[in-house]
Amino acid sequence: MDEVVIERLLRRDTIERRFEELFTTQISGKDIIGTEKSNKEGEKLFNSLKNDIRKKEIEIYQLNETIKMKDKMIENVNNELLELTIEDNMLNQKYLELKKEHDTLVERWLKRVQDQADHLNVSNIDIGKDN
Amino acid sequence: MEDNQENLEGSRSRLLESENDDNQSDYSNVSSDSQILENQGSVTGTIQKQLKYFSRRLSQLGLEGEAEVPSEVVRLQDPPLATSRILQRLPEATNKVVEKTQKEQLHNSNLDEKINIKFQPIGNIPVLLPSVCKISSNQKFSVILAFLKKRLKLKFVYCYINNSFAPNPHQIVGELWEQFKVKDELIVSYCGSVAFG
Amino acid sequence: MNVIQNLLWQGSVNVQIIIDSELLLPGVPWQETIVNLRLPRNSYLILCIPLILKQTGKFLKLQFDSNTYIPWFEFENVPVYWNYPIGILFDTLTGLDPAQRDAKYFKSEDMIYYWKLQLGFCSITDCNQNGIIPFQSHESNQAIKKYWIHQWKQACFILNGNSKKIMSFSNNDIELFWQSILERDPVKFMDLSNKIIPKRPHRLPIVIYQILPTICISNPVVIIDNTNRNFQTVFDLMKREFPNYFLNVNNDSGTYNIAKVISNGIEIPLEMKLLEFYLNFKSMDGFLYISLSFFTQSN
Repeated sequence: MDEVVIERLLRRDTIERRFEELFTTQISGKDIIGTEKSNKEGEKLFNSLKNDIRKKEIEIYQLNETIKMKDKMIENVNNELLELTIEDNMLNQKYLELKKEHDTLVERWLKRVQDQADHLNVSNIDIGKDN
Repeated sequence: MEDNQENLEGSRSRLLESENDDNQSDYSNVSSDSQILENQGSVTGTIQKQLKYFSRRLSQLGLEGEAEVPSEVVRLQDPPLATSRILQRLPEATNKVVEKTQKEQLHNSNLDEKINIKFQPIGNIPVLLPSVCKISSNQKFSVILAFLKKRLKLKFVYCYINNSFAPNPHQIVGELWEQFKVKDELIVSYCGSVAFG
Repeated sequence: MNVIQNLLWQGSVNVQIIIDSELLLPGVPWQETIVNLRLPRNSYLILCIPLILKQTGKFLKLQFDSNTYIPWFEFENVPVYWNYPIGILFDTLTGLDPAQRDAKYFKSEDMIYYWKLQLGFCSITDCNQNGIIPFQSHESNQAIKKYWIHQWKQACFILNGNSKKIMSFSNNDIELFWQSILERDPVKFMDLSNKIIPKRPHRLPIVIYQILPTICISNPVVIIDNTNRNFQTVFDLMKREFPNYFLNVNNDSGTYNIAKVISNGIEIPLEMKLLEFYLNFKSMDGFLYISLSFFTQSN
């Protein structure tokens, strides 16, 4: 069974090692731990600029979120305004109708009172004639 | 029997009241409860029996609901697209078996078996009560970590199994229990700082 | 180290890492965003980050540090968890079937075989949602070493019934053990790992990583006992865990298996004894990782 396993491993390697020269290998732990320390100042400046960019990006994202929220609020306010305008129109209409009705009723009442007064006047004159 | 019932009710309310009292009143409750134990024919006097009785009374008070770690929805993760295409190239018979197996696995996880976890504090950290909790066996270990952080109101909690190692948070609690259980419980010790290197 | 162990230790794969644009400063030429690395199967993916940074560090718009951002690998939009050895991640995520691969690639000397990954980032707070274990990336990789030591402690517990053997390692020993992996020193690794593994382990630390139909990682309890003749081979384990997939030890008697066992990139003969399988094929974290592959031809 060992031979079978070894043969399979060798076949695997044949395929997986093809063109390995194109791929960088980590030779030792030094590749992992060591970093070149040249041009410290330039690097510092570079890193701080990168941090700035990152901060600005985050700020932009947050501002965009705030804008979205404000847009929503504006929409809400507009909707409310629209509702109130409609309500206002309706109330105006109602007011005009009621005023008209009121005027009609006052007129009718005046006429009635006038009629009554005329009637009284006529009957008074009649009584005077009889005397 | 009725006497016992009344005694039970009476002692239950006494227990509620005495929650904030010192030990003395607790012991007085226990001694009156031990009468009931005697009536049931068990041997009283050992601390173990008293403790068992205490925990039974606590559960009667309805604290049992807190002894369970809330479950998270277990999400199935899909394989990468290219790999999932392999399924389409399999013979029909294989696909049927795969489907059948998946159904069986789903059925098993829906059975919602619960396992016991015993929490043991290490060092200067608040004690979690009750110290034994139940959790669904299909949950990940990270659920326990989150639960402890929430209950103890701490930002960092380090957990270890059998005071030896910290498991991979993705591991399924049921499997950890199978592998490492001690007398039907998975012992999880917790600490506010790194305890075992 | 025997021949098989040596071949397994040396196993590596070609990996091409493409850096996600979300990580890059604007205007970086695309050639600079690709890193070709040869990574050992027996190592953690995250350990190659410094090498990536060496080549592309200056083009990244943020730094990986312990408090805000950690690197995150993806394969076709599926997160690649850094805490498993590269070998098992590669075998399962690509659904490796050695027979299929051989048929396509073995004879054709011009065909290159590599794994394409994307590198992005994740904020520490979002980590857990995505299933990534957060860690602190220091230059000295201490956090990764800690995770790895706990894996060994768990493996030691499974093998011995307790973690005493590894807990008795001095700090220096542990550092040497870790260095043996960073520096790819098989002799040092074997020396130290043999101190942990008993001659007659009672249980074996095995992880089965399934990719189809959904991703599922399980840690079965594997008890091997010389008194139990019925549970000794790879087939015995697979038959217990996946009775529907494994019906017969060989494929030449009536009923056929529909799946095969893959470890470290090759198909494992089902007759192999579990102990031998573990001793040879275990990974650098003390666990033996297995993936499954289905037979595509009705064999």
